Amino acid sequence: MPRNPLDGRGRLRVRGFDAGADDTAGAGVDADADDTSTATGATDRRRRAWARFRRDRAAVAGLVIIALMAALAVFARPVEVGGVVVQPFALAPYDPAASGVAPTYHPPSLAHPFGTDWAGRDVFSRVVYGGRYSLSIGVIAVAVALLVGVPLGAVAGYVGGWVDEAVMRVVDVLYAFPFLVLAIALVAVFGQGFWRLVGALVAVGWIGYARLVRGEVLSVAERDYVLAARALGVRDRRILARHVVPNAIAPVVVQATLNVGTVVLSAAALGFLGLGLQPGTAEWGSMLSAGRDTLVGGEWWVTVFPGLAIFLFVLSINLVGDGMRDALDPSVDADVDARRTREVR
Amino acid sequence: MALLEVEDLDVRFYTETGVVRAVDGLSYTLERGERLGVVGESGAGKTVTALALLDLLDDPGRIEGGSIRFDGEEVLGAAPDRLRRLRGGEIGLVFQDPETALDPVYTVGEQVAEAVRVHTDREGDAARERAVELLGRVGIPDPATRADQYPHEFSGGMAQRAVVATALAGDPDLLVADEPTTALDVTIQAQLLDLLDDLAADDLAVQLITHDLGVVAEFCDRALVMYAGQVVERAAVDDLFYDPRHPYTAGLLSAVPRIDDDRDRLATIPGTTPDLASPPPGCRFHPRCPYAETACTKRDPPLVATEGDDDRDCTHLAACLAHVGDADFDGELDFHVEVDGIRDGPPPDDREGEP
Repeated sequence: MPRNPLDGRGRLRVRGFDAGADDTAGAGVDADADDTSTATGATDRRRRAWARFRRDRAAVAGLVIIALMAALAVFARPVEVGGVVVQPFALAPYDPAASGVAPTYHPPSLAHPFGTDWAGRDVFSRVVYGGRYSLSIGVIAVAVALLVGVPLGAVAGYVGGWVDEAVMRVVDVLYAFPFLVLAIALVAVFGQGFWRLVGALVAVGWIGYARLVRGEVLSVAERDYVLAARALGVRDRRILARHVVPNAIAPVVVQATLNVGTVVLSAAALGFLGLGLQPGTAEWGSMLSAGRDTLVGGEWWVTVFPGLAIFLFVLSINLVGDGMRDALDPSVDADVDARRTREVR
Repeated sequence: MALLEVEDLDVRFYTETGVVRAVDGLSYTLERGERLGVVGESGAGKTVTALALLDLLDDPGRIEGGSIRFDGEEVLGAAPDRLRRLRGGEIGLVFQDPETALDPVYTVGEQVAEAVRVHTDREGDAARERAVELLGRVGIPDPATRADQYPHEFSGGMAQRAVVATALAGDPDLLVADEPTTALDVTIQAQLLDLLDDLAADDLAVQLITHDLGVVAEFCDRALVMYAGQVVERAAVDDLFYDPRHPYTAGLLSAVPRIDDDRDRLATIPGTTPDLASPPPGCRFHPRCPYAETACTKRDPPLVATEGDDDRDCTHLAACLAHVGDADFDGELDFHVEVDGIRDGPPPDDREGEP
């Protein structure tokens, strides 16, 4: 028999209305205390952010693509550390540096799915293996630039005074140089090589983060909860690290993910000028540069596949960046929830 | 010894338009377990006073003089460690707008737990348990679940309770509440005042900053009336309401609407609070005071005991030349408060909704 929830309506009677009776609330406390006692605040917060991120399908797709590319790069050729093979798989059918594995400018075929380049090197192997350079340059250069720029910008904005002046004048001076000119000068002075290239990219990359973080920190430091934390006797260092920076970091995260793509392109530009990695390295940008002659000759596969790899990587990075921004901002979540509830109805 | 003694406090803001004397020669004391109301218009220096107590003023504000003693110990110029113990550990601060006083990126429970960690040696789960306990203490139903929610999931009243919980985390002796009910609607205001009342019953002193005279009448033992950075009247709440001695207090009281009011318009005090970068000479209230005389433009009246002050432990002080013996003030403050406690007359007419 279907029960009508409204059946009892006419018989409702309020007797001795007692606002003090809240036994049920007490029971709820006990039940929940067991559930949550194991999760500390920080891990719990990350779990929630991850849950929000997972709901964003485009971002998850981006993350999957990046993970695939990273896995391909790692498993492309065996990895040796100090003469010991720690990773024995070789997904790339040929040595990316080996020339003459097939006729030069061989169009895509079953044996060489992406064709071969001017030296008869297998483009597929080079693209797969090249992820090692491109991904690691992008990620490492951005990470180090963040490690330099975020603390400097945050301290400058929060402390103010001469600290602010000093940091921001350095930033202004570095901003006055055209990006490439500065990077070229640094490479010219310190020489070529992977870490020197990363160093040059960091030296010109951190200023953007410092400036962005400082601006955000200036506005966040004025918020009431920062004053409230100070009124509670929380140390300035802790306020900056726990209350100011987390509230200022969202635009930096988005900027940084976008910059991973930019940095990959910058590394390619330096390679094109002969100032990046050694010529002939299977880095995607360098492959593009080296293959520029083929655009006239019609050997499209030499440039299209490395270009596609860059495109796919940068696109995925941007999707992930957007997803992270939404996941890190709890107030956005409320809107998403509201929308989802409406959709369900 | 009083819990809090503020003596001759002087706070200035160095702005481009000049030096603003936000608090000027403020003195008062607060006993253990006492409830002190601080009333005044916006810009009277109420909030600045509260921040000065914890030495929280930022540039361009600076404490230029005076002394603040908590439990007999000087606060001004104290070492950073001492100040951190004072903030939250001895004086808890509750802010006006609960929605902005909580950090949006942390759960409410975590923010209370942070205050617990700062002031006690509880860590991790112990701090969290204490936070849940505090949230329960301030009347948040189902505190263990609510502790895991973010501030935006809290209503204004609940958020303000949570802010009170963080202020209580260090087990302070004094709670300074800066307009805690202003951002809340009336029924929630009453609940929050009940909560503060409940807390004050446990020997917690409360300094309630407000511009709502009704809240002061209901809640406080004693009150300061501030005008333009100075105290103009200080009295027990009953004396203040039934027998105001300063024209400004009288003006404030006459501006409160009453349910049986038969006035067409509410009374206002003409003019606005003076620009504190260049306050008027003499008594700061004289440009707006209906009783002002020439003497008022020349001499800044000190805060003195008023005539007819009976021998209670709480003296009735006012800063008006009318109460200064040797002043050149001829007039008389001829305002008085009528008390008709019995409301059995005809029902009030329909003007109560008018602004």
